Amino acid sequence: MNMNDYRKVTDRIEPSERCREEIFNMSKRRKNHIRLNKKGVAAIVAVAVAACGGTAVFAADKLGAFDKLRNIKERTVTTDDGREFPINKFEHKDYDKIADNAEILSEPVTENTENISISIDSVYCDGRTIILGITGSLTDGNPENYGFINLAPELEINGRIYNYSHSCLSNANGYMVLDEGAQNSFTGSITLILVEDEKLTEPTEIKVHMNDICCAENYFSDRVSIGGMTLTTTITPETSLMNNCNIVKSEDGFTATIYDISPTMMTVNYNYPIEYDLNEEKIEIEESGRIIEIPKYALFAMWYDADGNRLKHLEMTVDMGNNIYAECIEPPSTDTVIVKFCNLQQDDENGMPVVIKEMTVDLSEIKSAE
Amino acid sequence: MSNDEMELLYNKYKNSVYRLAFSYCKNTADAEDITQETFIKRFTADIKFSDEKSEMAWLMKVTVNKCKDLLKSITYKYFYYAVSLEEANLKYESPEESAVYHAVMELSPKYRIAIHLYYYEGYSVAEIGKILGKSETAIQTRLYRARNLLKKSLGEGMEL
Repeated sequence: MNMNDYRKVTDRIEPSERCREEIFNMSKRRKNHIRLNKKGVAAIVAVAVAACGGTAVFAADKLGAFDKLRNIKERTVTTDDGREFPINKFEHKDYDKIADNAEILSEPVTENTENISISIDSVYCDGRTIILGITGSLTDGNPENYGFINLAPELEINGRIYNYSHSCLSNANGYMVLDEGAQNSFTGSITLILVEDEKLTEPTEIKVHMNDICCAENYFSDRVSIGGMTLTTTITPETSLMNNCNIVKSEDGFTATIYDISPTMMTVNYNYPIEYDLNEEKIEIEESGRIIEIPKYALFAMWYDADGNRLKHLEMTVDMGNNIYAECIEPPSTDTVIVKFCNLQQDDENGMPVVIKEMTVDLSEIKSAE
Repeated sequence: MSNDEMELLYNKYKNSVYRLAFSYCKNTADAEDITQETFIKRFTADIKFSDEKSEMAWLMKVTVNKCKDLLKSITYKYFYYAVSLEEANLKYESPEESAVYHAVMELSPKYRIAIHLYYYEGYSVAEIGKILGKSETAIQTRLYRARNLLKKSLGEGMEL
């Protein structure tokens, strides 16, 4: 068997005459595209008969957990009082990018207890960020209709334990949510971000200790403990995913630093002239009927892509070493980013903080690893 | 563009565009929709290509982008893992052809497309990187992993 077999089958695939007619009709009309067949994805399943008499096999994609999580940010849960929230309020990751750059394990790593079965089926690792794709099911079939499982993981790497109290685990969460339309199939992830001098550079065994797995109806509900387990797997970091660009842009005493860009984050820092920190200048505001004085300036930086879309802060910091802590921003899709130094103490006519200084940082020379 | 020019273009590239789209979507309806959109874009684009190779690469890139847009649509996001291979128009002349084709089509899209462009269309790693907008290292990694998965699926009898 070889790829000639794939070529021969593919050589026999051709578009229909109807496809051709539609293209040339539309070209004449220059109208917007009309879908040739409105059946769409779910309805197209046809009977197959192999010419040699073999049995028909339907080949579904072998998808990993990250593929199933692509729409997680759009999913919501409604609490008993009718309010709607994200299904996991701390989930900020872009699983489109993670799935595109993760490895689906040829053999998932699975452990079972009397209450639950959990597998690691995909791994994303750029050396600093480790994200494990997790799937699971409850042994009893989920009669309580749980929708959320908290994993509270501790990760053991090279003899060291990383858990929620670690400084770089501020956005770590290990969780699973019920798959849409399923009764007892859960998908989620476990995340760990390593400090700079502990980044992985070679295949490394990690143990995932989940000592107190809890089930709940949703993220906000009371949780029921169902015990724990440990999963062990070896991770091979894909360090080429991390682009260590180390860009520093300075203008008029304002500085923006981009340390690195990966599919999961852009690590940044910024500084501004010291006079904005001295708080010597004051402004007056009215509060509760009284006039009070506050410092005139309280600066912070907001980051945007070239299309004007704000790049979200990922609510975590990365220890870069030497007492430097970088902020984590969602990575941009454009070749430039714009940094706006804003003054929290003053609003413009649109209610947004006044921009004191704006700088454009050119990323186009970086060969993105993504 | 005249009708004759459009016919010439379509006949020259229709199979490559359609086969790439089918390898992404795995069904005729969506693959033909992608094919239509790609050619409409070509016919209405005011672009002159220096050679056939450049034109073909452009068409491949547009096809890939249209497929990615489709996969990001709400329908695919919510029913992604329900997509099965549409077998109706596939013909196999040996069990090996069926086994290899199914093994490739079972790969996740990012691996499947790298395999299709490398082994079927004959593109180099660098050329595939330009089409998919990825680095050469990323493409090499995808091909490496895809080959491992195929060997795992088909056994050591699979030559790659």
